[in-house]
This record gives sequence, structure tokens and C-alpha cells, in this order.
Amino acid sequence: MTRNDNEFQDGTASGSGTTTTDKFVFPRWTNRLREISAVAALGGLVYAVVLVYGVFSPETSAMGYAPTQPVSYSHALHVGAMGIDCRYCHTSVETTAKANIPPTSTCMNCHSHVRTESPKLELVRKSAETGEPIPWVRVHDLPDFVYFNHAGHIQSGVGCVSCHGRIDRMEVVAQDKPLTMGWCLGCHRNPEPNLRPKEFVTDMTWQPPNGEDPADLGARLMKEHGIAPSTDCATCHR
Amino acid sequence: MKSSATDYLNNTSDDPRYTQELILGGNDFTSITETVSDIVLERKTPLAWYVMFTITAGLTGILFLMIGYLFLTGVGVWGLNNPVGWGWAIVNFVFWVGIGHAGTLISAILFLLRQKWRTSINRFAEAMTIFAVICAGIFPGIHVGRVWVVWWLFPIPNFQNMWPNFRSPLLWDVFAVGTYATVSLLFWYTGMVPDLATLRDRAKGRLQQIIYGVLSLGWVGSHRHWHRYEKAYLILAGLATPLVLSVHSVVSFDFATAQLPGWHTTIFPPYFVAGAVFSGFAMVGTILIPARQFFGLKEIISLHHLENMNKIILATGSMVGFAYATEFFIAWYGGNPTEGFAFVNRAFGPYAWAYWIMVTCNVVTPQLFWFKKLRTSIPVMWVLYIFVNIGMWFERFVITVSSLSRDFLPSSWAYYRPTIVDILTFLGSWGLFFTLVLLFIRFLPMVAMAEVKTVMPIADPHSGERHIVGDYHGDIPEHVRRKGHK
Amino acid sequence: MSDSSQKRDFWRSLDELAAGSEFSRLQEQEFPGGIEAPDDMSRRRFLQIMGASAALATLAGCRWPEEKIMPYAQRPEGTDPGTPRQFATTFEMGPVALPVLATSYDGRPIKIDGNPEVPLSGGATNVFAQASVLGLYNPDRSQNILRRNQFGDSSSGAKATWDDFGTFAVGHFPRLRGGGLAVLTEMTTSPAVWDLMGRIGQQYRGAKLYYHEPVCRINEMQGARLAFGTPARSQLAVDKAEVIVDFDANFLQDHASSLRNSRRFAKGRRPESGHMNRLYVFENTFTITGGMADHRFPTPASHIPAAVWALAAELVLGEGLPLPMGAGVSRSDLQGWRGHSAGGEHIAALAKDLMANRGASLLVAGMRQSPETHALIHLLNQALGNVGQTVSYQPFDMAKLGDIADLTKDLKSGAVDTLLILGGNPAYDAPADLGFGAAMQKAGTRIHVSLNDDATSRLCQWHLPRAHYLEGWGDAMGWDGSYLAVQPLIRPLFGGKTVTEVLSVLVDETPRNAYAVARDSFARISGAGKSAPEGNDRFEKKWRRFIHDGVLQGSAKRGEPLALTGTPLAAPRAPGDLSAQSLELSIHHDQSVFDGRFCDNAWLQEMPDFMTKLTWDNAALLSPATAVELGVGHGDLVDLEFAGRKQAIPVYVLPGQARYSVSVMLGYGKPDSGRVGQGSGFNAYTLRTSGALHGGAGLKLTKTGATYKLATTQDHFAMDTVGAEEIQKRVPGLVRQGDLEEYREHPEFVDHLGIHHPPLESLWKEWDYNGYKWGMSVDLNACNGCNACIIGCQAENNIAVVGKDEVARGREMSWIRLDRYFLGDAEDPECAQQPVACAQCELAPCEEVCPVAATMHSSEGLNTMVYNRCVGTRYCSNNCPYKVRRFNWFNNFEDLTATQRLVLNPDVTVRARGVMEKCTYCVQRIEKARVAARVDGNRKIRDGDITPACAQTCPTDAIVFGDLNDPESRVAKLRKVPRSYDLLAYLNIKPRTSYMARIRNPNPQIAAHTGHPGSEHG
Repeated sequence: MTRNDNEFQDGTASGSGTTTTDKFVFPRWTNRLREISAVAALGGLVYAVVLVYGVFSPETSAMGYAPTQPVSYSHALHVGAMGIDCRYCHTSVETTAKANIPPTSTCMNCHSHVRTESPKLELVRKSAETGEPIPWVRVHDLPDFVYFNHAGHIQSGVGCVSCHGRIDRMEVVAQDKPLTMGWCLGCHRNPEPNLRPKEFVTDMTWQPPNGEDPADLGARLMKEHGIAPSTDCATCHR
Repeated sequence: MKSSATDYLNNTSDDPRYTQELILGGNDFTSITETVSDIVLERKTPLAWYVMFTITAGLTGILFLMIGYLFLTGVGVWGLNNPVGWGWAIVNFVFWVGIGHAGTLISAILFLLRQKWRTSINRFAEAMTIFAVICAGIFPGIHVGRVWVVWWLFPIPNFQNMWPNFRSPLLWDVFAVGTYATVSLLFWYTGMVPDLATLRDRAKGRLQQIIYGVLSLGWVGSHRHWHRYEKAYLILAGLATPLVLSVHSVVSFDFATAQLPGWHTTIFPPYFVAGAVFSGFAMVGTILIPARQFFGLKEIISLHHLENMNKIILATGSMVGFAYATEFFIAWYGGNPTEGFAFVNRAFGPYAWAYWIMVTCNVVTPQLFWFKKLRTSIPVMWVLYIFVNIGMWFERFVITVSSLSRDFLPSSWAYYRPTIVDILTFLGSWGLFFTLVLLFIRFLPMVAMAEVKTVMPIADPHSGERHIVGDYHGDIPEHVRRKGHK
Repeated sequence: MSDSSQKRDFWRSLDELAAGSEFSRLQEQEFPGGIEAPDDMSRRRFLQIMGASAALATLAGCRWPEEKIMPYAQRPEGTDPGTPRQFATTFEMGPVALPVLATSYDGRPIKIDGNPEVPLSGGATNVFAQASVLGLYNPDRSQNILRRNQFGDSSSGAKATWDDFGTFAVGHFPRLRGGGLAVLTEMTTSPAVWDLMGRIGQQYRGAKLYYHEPVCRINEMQGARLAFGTPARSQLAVDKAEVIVDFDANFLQDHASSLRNSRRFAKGRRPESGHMNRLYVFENTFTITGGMADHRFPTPASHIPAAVWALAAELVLGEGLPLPMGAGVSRSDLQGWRGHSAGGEHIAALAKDLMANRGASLLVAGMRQSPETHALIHLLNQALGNVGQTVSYQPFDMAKLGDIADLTKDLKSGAVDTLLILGGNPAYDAPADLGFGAAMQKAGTRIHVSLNDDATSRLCQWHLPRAHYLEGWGDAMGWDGSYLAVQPLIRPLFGGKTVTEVLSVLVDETPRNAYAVARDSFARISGAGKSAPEGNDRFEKKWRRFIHDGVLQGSAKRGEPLALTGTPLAAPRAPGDLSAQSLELSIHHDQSVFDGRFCDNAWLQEMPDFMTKLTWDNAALLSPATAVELGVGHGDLVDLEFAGRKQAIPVYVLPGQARYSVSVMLGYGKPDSGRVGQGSGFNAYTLRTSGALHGGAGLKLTKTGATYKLATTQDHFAMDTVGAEEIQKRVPGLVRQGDLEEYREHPEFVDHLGIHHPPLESLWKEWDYNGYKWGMSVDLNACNGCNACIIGCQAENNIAVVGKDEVARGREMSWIRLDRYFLGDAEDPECAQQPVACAQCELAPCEEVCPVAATMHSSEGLNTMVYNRCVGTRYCSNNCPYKVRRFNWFNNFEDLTATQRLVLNPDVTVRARGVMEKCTYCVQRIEKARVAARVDGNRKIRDGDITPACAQTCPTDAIVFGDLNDPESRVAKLRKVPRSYDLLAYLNIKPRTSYMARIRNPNPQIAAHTGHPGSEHG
């Protein structure tokens, strides 16, 4: 069958002279393809939105991840209410890469005197006598190819709160920030707002004195202490 | 079939007193339609087809087995080493992309150049282009170390605030090949729509009718359809033309922008494009000849067509030869000893065997096409096509491997040997290619009927008077078509 | 058992390792049947623990498994988890003690470095010491006390406990006080051990003591005894010598104080300082000392005594050098030797040079040479007035011990009731003719203390697992007489005990543990009061200082001149002529596996031999001409026939090997080796007889027709002519060398050796570096190619071992490699070597082409390689002109057992399959220094704060790293030295690592008629 046949039955592909088989015709509904595709496009849009939301939602970066710990230790109580300094337990935070979870003995410094009977502290006491460590669950868990160094940041005057949030208000410690590479770079590219005099790093509520804009203060500190956060890959990846 | 086939089938005479018909055997529109579409609809599929299909399908299976093994184990299953970080995978990639050039060249450039003879072979060539590009596309994908993160090559917003490195030719590759594949596919399909409609109209089985019906997108051949069609075709041809040149130029940048002696060469883009067209035509011929033999298309795909192809092969082959010579001249003239050695090493080093295979197949043998006798002899040209295919694969092998195996510091020189996995993967890609080709000739019109008709005398308003090449764009007056209609 | 709980268990065990306390108890609980338990743990969990690979993060999906943090219950004082600490200890191999610093990460020893406090090391180490840490984690180490009943029981035997042995000992040993006890020990310098041995002599009447050391230095001692009447350690002041002559000594590598020698040799060879010594080497195979030689004379080993005598004759008769007082030879003895062919054509020139440098020359003979040869060398040094200048001696009294031949005799005579073997593996490495293994059966009771359940253990009723030196207390005596501490960093992983602990069972009524023995020994030697109870503050202070420094301060003795005794020296037999029919067999210890003790050490197995670049195998080394004459080629399997013994071994054609001399290395083909060493190389001990420990003339070599695959990291042997010619053309531009004269006349000569090019311009905007600008300088004049940097890098950067087949494919992973080229005449070539690692180019070709920006330029000029971003296109490697990038073709860490993973350095990512890796200038150390500097009052990083692993371990200080922006830094200064040049500078890649040309100091009289290719260009 050649093309010129169809020519005469203007536009419709009906039967031809030679063969009598009734030929395939697009069913009526296909005329609505335009509308359908419009709807499909809309659906696609919704899908895209959902996807983008999903990708950038806090859950994806484990924000708010707050596993239950073997001992219901409350930072809100110890830090918030009693005002114990972070460094009392996290001793090596200023000098080494790891802040370090305190040994049981640190807990016992006080709890051999106070709340010696508290059932909550059962595991702690047990650990103290048996020497079995307390199996804390890691909250801030970076990929193994990322090398974060606490000392470097503390020494440059980055407050604990900048990465860990208001620990002093947490009954159970939760991941407060995305801790994604983009987030890290954000600060490394524009550190001013997150800098403070070194002596205040552990202060959860610190504000620049006499209402100075943190950014300005940060800029000044950067000059004074020669703080130049690097965005070189090797700063974190080795 | 008609008797004394040879003489009437020979339309390659250069005698100016006669015009040589493109389509022979007094074919008219109907007969064309029948010959072509019957292959798909009426004729019983020859046993040979089934035999070959089983073989190629098996090879395709092996291809995917090998890829699976590769993914599970690591790139180490190939023969690569340090210094030879790219081996057969990249060689095959460049080889297949090259093959993919004839199609677009024929359909686009020859179309714009008003080369009537293209019509009989363009469908075939385009199909082959698509299939070759599919085969090519596989390799860069699987050759990376961590396949599961290849999407990092695409500029997608991400948590890391990282972009790909736009200075890297590999990235250009991604875009160049991607575009090329898309446009070629569109081009091929658009061109096929009217013929699909024809198949639809002639199909007996309901299923066939529906499938071809859907594929032909409701084509009825109205004026409007033809008008839009011709426009679209012209635009696509315009789009595709620069791509023919760009793709392989960009592919050549992978090598040319590197500083490796033997890669770091400014003539690569034209040299690669010429080579690509060269290999492309050879591949078209390789498949066309058996096809036309098998399915009685000798009248439509005539000796004249083949001769023209051979002329192009002769031309591009010589260009390639010239490029080889230039490389050596520059290596010497440039006065860089390392560069100089790279080429001495090619010709006389451990990979000399590959080099001389390349030169023989690509430069020497095609010269036989200077002689009309050989140029128009089916067996001769077919053998030469095979030679060219081999030669062009080895060209890529020589460039990639011989340069890598001996670069600046002799301490890191090494010899590269493929593993069985390399070999099977390559064979597998051939399997895939021919599987697709076989499916194509079985289920799609392998000659562009609609287009062929337009170059037939009866398509000419003044047919029977004088032969003028008519502009076959726009609609052809009704009475002309009437003639054709029985 | 749930995932996390198992993990907890393992974590605890790690922490306990760190805490050190109670480990064995826990070990019983956690790992019944030894530490193997963690080996069954899934790889993923382990990588979490080891803090590792990108693949993990990728595979583990969006939320990787919950991790536990297991803090100490009681954190030991001074520990900060996650912060490595260093402890001083001592690595002993054969009778050579090497003071080292061991780095411990959360209780795991992960790296061994030299102890800078002790001159013997000066901060440098050799490959063996560095790789020894891997041996600690060798999962094939013996893990149980084993009992075997029938002789030669190849089964794994029956497990027993230390208590079982204790009860056995209490019952058994008292019977032997009447006699019948024989103790065979490997050579050790530990005073503690010798003290206990002495007490065995006292307490057990007729107890016999024997020693066995396959690589033995006894000839040196006997040579000294011949010359001076007492054994003595020669102290070489190489840096004071103007002319050094090395007779088969390889004094830069094989001498007992080789590290000190290397450093001093380099010190005496800095043309800028005006002091440039000249080195002559007589040797049969190419050693690193030969590689450094200004004149190397390939001489069959059996001809070397004659060469020494020829030199002596030339000096005395030719140059009229007066013989010293008490010389063991007379002028008449020397008559016949003048101009002896063994000396070679240049002996006269050499003698003249020596005469011209009397008092500033130095002659050294190797440990394989006969006592007489050593004595003659001593004599010549005396005559040339070198004693007290370039060489001095340290006499010491050596316990009189029988050797293994005596023991075999006594065994056969049935005089031995109980044989106690301390270390060693005589069943494998005793001279083949003795049939020691069989003879052992004659002893009723046989006990073997050993790291592995090896061939010897299988012939004993008792196999006692020995503690690795990082697991037990002890002491040692350095070559310079300094008293060294051996302290453990970790409780015995497999419950082994030290030799001293076992001996203590024999001699102490209440056996002491190694700690007590070591303390007592220290008390005795330091004179800090005798065996001091705890709480003696004065003693405690001294003791703490001792184990802190790793050495007893001031214990190193100064060498003294010794007088010759005039004992007449027998002249050597005139060496027979060698020929293709009667070749020379020359047996050497191996530079990778030594005497076989490192056969299971993957780092050393894969470390390319400096000259042959051979890995995982040994071979018969032949000179090209010899090979041609014998009609054998590289990789042909041949039969060596010597003294009626036969051994098949593949051929390796080594340029510079002495004609007709066939060298084979010991230590391979170990039938009792573990997983790593299985099937590596061929056992050359089968050719070794007590008569000819180091071989000799009369070797037959026959082709078997078979071939064997040798895995080398550099293919120079099978080079086609096109390539070979190109190498000869190209190398002088790469490894630039010149003569001293040339250098003095045109200091800028290096600039004329490279490829000439127009002024270079960059396509890209060039970087500017405002902060630090890291750079490195490598002095080819100092580098002798000892391979230490390769192992140092491997340990520091978790570099994978890929195995023989992969190496053969060209997939070795080492980040720093030593390029070695032979120039000139293949029979007597010049050797050019060059360490090559990533040069951190400023205009780096790799960075341009990476499609995903996985290798990026840092603000301080490093090409940082980000493994977790890499997709593995390998484009960067293709475009790297130095080809220093390494690709992970497979997951190279998959097969490691949990125990083996303990050696990994947590500060460096373990690379996953499919990613590229390369030298980082030890960026982890740079970042550590950066933070340290900030913590330390926010100061700048000082020159010397950062030392990459390769530079740290280099015995010759050939590698210097620092900040190029600081004009005062060492590296910046070195860059200004005229012989400093960039490799492949014409590519305009601006490498940060630059090289300093090698300067040769040939003897003008000799150089005249052997022009050497190095200086042809310019």
C-alpha cells in the first residue's frame, strides 16, 4: 500500500483499495492525549517537589537522631542546671582530635558520694567495679573517610553550640545540625558568625558583648588569630 | 528474478550519453513498497536469520555475563595495569562511536548536499548508527572503577556542594555522545514514520497493525503531515550535521588534550572524524551487501550506490593515511625526543605488529578502489570492508595502548595483554550489535521506501520527457503520483 | 549473638589491649582458641572498627549501622583515646640490635621508626625493623603450646597450656642436672639471655650450649681474633674516610652498623661541603654499595681473597708500604700475589690512591669472607694508618659455643638427652649435609621455642609459642656497646612467652617473668643496685629513664685501636679459573626475607629487590654474557648442581653480575611457611653445606627446558632494541649525574642534561601560594636505594599488598618506588637510581582531566586525592608523566583477617576497590602538625615539624621536606644548590619534588680509559 491512497480519505486512515483488512486506528480517547500529558506533567512536578523535599529533609541527614542511651544521662541537668563545663568530662577536646567520652571513673568522682543508690546509675556502678565499659551509642557519626578534629576548631574559637546545638537543654543528646559536607563548607567559607573568643567556646548562651554583630566580631577575631579555615579537600579527607 | 542479472544491474557506467538509473529493474512505487515491506510482512523469515540470531543473542548474553562479573569483582578482571589505564574498553568505545558516524553523515550531510543516491541506504546506515552508539555507550559506563557513582559525572545539585570538573574532556564526552545519540535516534525515527504507516496499512495481523499503528503515530500522509515531516527532517538534518563533526572531535579530545606522547596531537579532531566516516561506511557496506543479497534488494540498493560508498571510503581512507604521515612528520619536526620516540616505538616497538596491521588495512588496501573494476566488484569490496573494520579497530588500539605502554619514564614502561574477559566483552558487543541489526531487518523497513520513491523517474513531473532532478521537497503534484498508481 | 553485641566484645578487647591489663583473662573469655575469633567477624564490622573505607559508606546505604562508643572504665594515665603514642624498644635480628620507636594507636603497635636518641639508628631504620610490626599480626604465628608424640609429626599436634609445660619442666629438668642437656640458641646480644645461659652452665653439669645463625658474622669475630687475639666489633668512621674499599662487604646494608655507615657515608659525600669520598667495590653481585661505587669491579666471590692479597702485595711491594708491627704476613708471603689477575687491571691505581690517603682510607671485608681475609684487612688498615682514624675496635669476650655441626656430632653420639632450641629453625636452615633434622631424633626430649610452629617444631615433642619482641620484656647490646631496652607495647596476642621466661623455668626455683628478668639484668649492667625491689626510688627512676629513652645513657663505648698479634696468616688457595662448565655458586642472604624468617611478611615479600626489582621470589643471578654462553634466558628454569646436590631455580639475567658467578638468595621455598610465604621462591639451603656455607667454584648449571614466571616491578631485561637504545638515550636526562671535576668547573651542568625547550608558558592561570608551600628535595648523591622509604610509606599509609600475580601484571601499589637503570656495558654497567613518588605538580596534568574533581589542588600546592569522590576513570593516571598513581583494581583488603587489619593506620583512609591513590606527602602528618601548632599557642608550623614517613626513615637524609615559602627552611636552601633540578621540567608541570644530581668521584687514572656514560651529556 503506498502513501497516495490515504491522500484522498483526507486525514483518516480507513481501508484501502487493495486490502480489506480494517486497519488500526488510534482509539478516540487518544484525542485526549494532550490533557492527559498535561496531568502527567503536573504529577511529575509533584514528584519532583516530593523528591527535593525528601533529599533536603532533616531526616535524610539524620538531624534529630536521638538514640536511647544505656544510661539516661541528662546534659540538661548536668550542664544546664548544674552548669558543669563541657571540659570536665570531655577532657581532651581542646588538645586532641577526639573530644572523648569520659571513663566511668569520671562519673564516679561525684556519684560515689551523691545518688549512690539511684537505680538509674546501676550500670555506671557496675561498670566502675567490673571495669566493663558502658556501651554508649554514637550520635554524631561522620563517615569513616572524614577526619574531624575537635582541637583545631576549639582553638580557633568555634563554640560547641555551633555544631552540637543547645546540648545544655537536651535530656537526650540529639544530632542538631545536618553535618553534611555542604554544611561544613558553609562555615569554612564564611566562618565569621560562628567565631568567638576562645574562653567562651563552651558557653552555650554566649552573645557578642554590647550587641556587636557576631560577623563583625568574627572578622576581627580571624584577623587577630590568623584564622583561615581551609576548603582544601585534604583538610578532612585523607 | 530476471536473467542476465549482471549487465542490467550494472548502473555504474560513466558514459555521459546515458543517465544511470538509481533504481533498476523498472521498479515502480508499488513494486518498491512490496519488495521492501514484504520482507517484514509477507516473506517467511529465512532459516539463516534464526541461526544467526541465536548466535548473536548468545554473544549478547555473554556480554552481560561479563559485565556482571566485572561489576562484582572489579576492573582488575581486565588486562589493564599501570601505566596502561585504558585498554580494550576505551578502544571499543572509540571504535563503535566511529562506526556510528556513517549514518548521520549519509542522512544529514548527503541530504543537505542533495545526494539522491543516499535514499537507498540511509535507513540502514542510520539504524546502524543507533546500534553502534548503543554499543559504544556501554563501555565508558562500565570501565570506571566505581560504577555505582558514575552519576557524579552529571551536574546535579548535591549535599557536597560539588560540581563535576568542566575542564575534563571526559565530561565533554558525556554531553557530546549523549546529544549525538538523541539526535540520531530522532532523525532515524522521524524518517521512518511514513514507512511505518505503510507497514501498518499493509499489515494483516491485528497485533502488527496495532504495533506499527502506534509506531507510525497516526500518520496518514496528508499534505499537512508531509509538509511538517519534510520541515522536521530538514531541521534535524541541519542539527545533525555539526554533530557528525563534533562527536568524534570531542572523543578525540580525550586523547589530544592529554600530554601523553602519541596522544598530545593537534590533528586528532579532523583525523578522528575522517577515520570515523571511513569505518562507518565500511560497516554499512559489510552489512548491506549480505542484506541486499538475501532480501533481493539488488535493484534498489544498486551497484551505483555501493560504488559511491567505495569512493567515499577511498577518500576518507587516504585522509587517514595522510594523518598517519603527518603525525610522524610533526613528531620529527617538533623536535621533542619523547614525542619522536612515541612514534618510532609505534612502528618498530613491541606493538609494531598492531601498527602495521593498521596501516595495511586502513591505508594500503583501500587504494585498490582507484580501479573501477575492483571498486564495482562485490566480493572485492566486501573483503575490503572487513579489512577496514579490522584496521580501524587497531588504529584505536595503537593510539590508546602503544602510547600508554611507553611514556616518559622508562621505569614504568609495561606491556599490555587483554584477558579473556576483555575479549569476550568485545565479542559480546558485536553480538549485541548484530542482534539489533537482525531485529531491525526483520521488523522494520530496511530501505526508506518513501524517500526512494522520490528519486525515481516516475516521481519526476516530467518523467518520460527529460530527466531533471526535481526538488522533491514540498508536495509532488497529484498527476505525477497518479502515474505511479496502478 | 547480635551484631552489636559481638562488636562490643571486640571493642572491649581492643580497649583492654590498650589498657594492657587483664588481657589474657579476657582473651580466654572472648576468644576461646586464641584471637582468631575476630577473624570470623564480617569485614564490614571490622572496617567500622578500623575507621575505614569509602566503600563501606557507599554500600551501607543511607543510614549506616549504629556504632557504639566504649570508653574505658578507668582510663590509664596519659592516654587520650585516638591519639598515638611512641615507646622506645629494640628490634634484634641475628646478633644485631637496632634501637627503634614503636608507635601505638589505642594499644595497637602500628609503626616502627628509628630511635633518634641513639646514634646507631639516628632516627633511621631498615626495612626489616619496619616490617617486623606486620609479623606481630601474622595470623599464622603459632597460637598454642603444642605436644607431639611421634617424630616428624606433621599434624598440628595436641594443644597444651603453659601450666602443662610447667609441670613437665618441674619433673623433667632436675634429672638433667647430672648431664645430658643441650641448648641451641640463635645469636642474640641480650645480656639477660646470656646471663641465664651462663647459669644453665653452672646448674646443669655437662650442659652444652650451641648457637646457630644461618646468616652468621662469626668470620668477622674470628678474623679479629686472628689479628688481635680477641673478638672485636669494628667501628667504622666512614665519614672520615677519603677512600673506601669494600670487599664483598656491602657495608651500607649488610654491616652490623649499616645504618650508621650509610649516614656517615652520605655525610662524607656532599660535594657542596667540599668533602667527597671515593668508593671502590669488589663484589660478585650488584649490591646497593656497588650501586654507590665510583669504581665497581665485578669479581667472583671466590676471587676476592686473592684480590685482597693482590692489593696488599701492590701496596707493600709496589708502593713500598711498610708492614706494621706484628703483621701476620711477610714481604715474601706477598711475592706471588703482586699483579694477580683477581685484582684486576686497576689495582695499581687503587693502591696509589690508598697511599695518597693514608690515615684517611678505609678497607672493609664482608661477613662471607674468611677470617684470614678479615685479618689481612685489619692488617692493611693498620699499615695505612687508618686505625684510630677511620676505624677502631671494640673488644668483647664471646661465650664459647659449639656450632650446629658440633651439635649434630654430639646428637649422633647420643650424648644429648634433652635438646632445648631457642628460636631459629635449624631443621630448615642448617647446612644440608649435616642432616640435622634426622639427628635430632637421637635426643630423647626436644623442645622448641619459636614464633611459628615450623619444621623444627614438628620434630619436637614440645613447641612453645614465643612472644614477639613487641610483646615481651628484654634487653640487647648495640654494635657500639650501648645497652638497649626491649619493652612490650601489647600483651602477647597469642599467649607467647619470651626466651628469658622459658630459661627462667630451668634455672630459677621460682620462675621470674620477662619483666623481672629484664629489670634484674638492667640492675646488673647499669650497676643501679642489684635486683631492685619495687619502690626503690633511685632504681625506679633510672629504670624508667632507661625504658623511656630505650638506651642506658652513656653506655655506648668508644672504639679503641688494637695491636696486631702477629699470628701468621695462611694465604688463600689460588682461585681456580671459572668457566661455563665450572661456575661459581655464591650464596647470599636475601634483602627481603633475610634468612627466611620474613618469608611470611607480605610487605617484604612484595618489596622489589633494589637491583633485580624481583618480588615474591628468588632466582639464580647470571651476568648477560654468562647467560648467553650458557644459552639460558631470563625466566628459564635451570638445575643448579653443587657438591652433589641439586636444586631447580629460575634464571635472572643481572647486568653487572660477575662473569661465571651465579648468585642465589637464601630464605625462600620454605616448606613450613604460612599463607603468605606459601610457594614463594626456591630453597637455596639445599645447596648449602657446612664445608661451603657461602658456595664456591664447581657449580654446574643445566637447562630444564621449563620456564618460570618472575614478577618484577621494572622490566629492563626483556627489552627490545628500540626500547633499550631509548633508555640509554633518555636516562642521563632523568637521573642526572656528573663527575666531581665537571661539577666544580660548571656547577650548572645539570641544566644541560635535560631536554632543551623554549621558555614555557601555562594555558591556565597559575596558582599563587600565600601560606605554606610544601616541597621536597631528593638528593640522588645520598640515596643508596635501601628501600627503607618504601616500607615506611607502606606502614604509614595502609598500602595494600596485591600478591605475585598482580605485581606481574604491573599492579603493585607502592606510592614511592625506586627507579633503577643500568647504563653502559652490560657486564660492568653503571647503576643510576632515583626514588619517585607523586611530585605534587603545581600545574598538575592529573587535576585537569578528572571529570569529577576527585583530585584537586590545595592552597598549599598539594594534589589532594579524594578517595571518596573518585569514580575510577584512571584518566589522571594516564595523564601523569611520572606514572606514580596507583589504582585499586580489586578490593585489596577483603582477604585480610581481623588480626591482620590491626596494623592499619587509622589516620589514613583504607582505599576501596575502584579508586585511585597516590603519595600525599603524608598529608595526615601535615594536618596533625597544623593543629598541633595552633594548640601550641597558635604559632606557625616550624621547619622540621612535619616529616613524611619516607624522609623520617631515610638513613642518609636524602629526602628533605618543608615549606618553600620559608627561605630559611632546609628544603628551600637545597633548592638553591646548583645541582638541584626538576624531573621532566620541560613539561612545565612545576613539580614540588626536585632532585639533586648525583656526583661521582672517579679516580682520574681509571676514569681515563673507562669513560662512563653518566657524564657524556652536557
